[in-house]
Amino acid sequence: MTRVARLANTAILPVAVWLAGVGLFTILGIDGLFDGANPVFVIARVTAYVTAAVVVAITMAFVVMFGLACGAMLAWLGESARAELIVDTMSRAFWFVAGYVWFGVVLLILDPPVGLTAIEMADPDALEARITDTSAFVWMARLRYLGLAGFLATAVWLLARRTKPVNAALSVAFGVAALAAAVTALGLLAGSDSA
Amino acid sequence: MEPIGNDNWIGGFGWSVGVLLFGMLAGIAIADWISSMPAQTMPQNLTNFRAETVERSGWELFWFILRRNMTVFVMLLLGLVSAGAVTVVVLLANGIAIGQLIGLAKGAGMSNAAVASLIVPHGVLELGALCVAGAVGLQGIRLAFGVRALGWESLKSLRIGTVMAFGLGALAAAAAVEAFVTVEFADSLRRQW
Repeated sequence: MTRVARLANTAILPVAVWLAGVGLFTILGIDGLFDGANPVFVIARVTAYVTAAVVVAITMAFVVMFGLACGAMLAWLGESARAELIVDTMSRAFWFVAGYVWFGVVLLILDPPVGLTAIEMADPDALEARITDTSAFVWMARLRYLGLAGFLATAVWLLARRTKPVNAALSVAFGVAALAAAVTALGLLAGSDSA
Repeated sequence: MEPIGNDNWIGGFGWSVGVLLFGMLAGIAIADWISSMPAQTMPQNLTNFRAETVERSGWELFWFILRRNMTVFVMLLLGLVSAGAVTVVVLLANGIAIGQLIGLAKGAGMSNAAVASLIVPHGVLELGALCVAGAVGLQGIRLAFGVRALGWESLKSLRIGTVMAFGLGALAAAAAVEAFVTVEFADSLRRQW
């Protein structure tokens, strides 16, 4: 096996490609929207970068929780739920999410966002208007469920290669339910009101 | 994998404090950098801009603060399933936010004593509790490396129940101090200005 083929088969590669895509998407999006030396843009950029880092880290944690839930269900159904199987499945299913993110990067390069002016920063509706005017943000929002569905379908397909297909589907369904419960609980705890 | 002992707890707590302090220093540096920018670069309508604030009673503020801090506490525990990544990022983010707040308050001419009076009374309990959660979250690094040898004893030694109970108690006390004491002090400072 060549070095490239070995690299393509490693579990870390899809996650690394996804991370690179998210990083580029964040830089292009944030620097495009908040472009300038004005202090308000500096504060906006710092806040947006920190938020993006938190979102990426929490996404990784949620995927691990999803994998753990899938593994627990597989073990309960009598399948051999080895750590390697779960890690391999979750990582390879990330190819679909990585593709979704890189699609957004290409759209951002083709149609970059128009930067906000310092005066517009005081208007809460201006940022929303810019986001709805940028095709990358609009299409990423439209295709988010397709990205999620692709990730889940890939996970079922990968698990079904080494377990019974019905058990694979059941374990992914349980993982989705467990994750939905965790996200809902965290959302209820945080609340939606602002200070 | 061996159960988590006192050394791991102390080490995790120390690293949490270190990451939080690093974030605070970065936040202060960012605030200093922003303060050093020429004032005329700020548009007039922004220098006069005041964010609309929601008026809350003491108890409403208490519940609001407690819920938000418990969310951060739970997010810090997510480091257990992300090899510590969520813990490090959330501690850094909170450190930067606090550092920026301190730096901008100092830049606006607030004295050291006034800044300390606004932060220390509830901050010691609040940040202490968050660093305890950080100590648990950072054990995720050990768990990730020892996942093959992970056993029930290792998981039990995390003492998640005790940590959650401590966090709820400490953060409730901190939220009470912040909602009923710090707010009064902040109002008295605002009247002086």
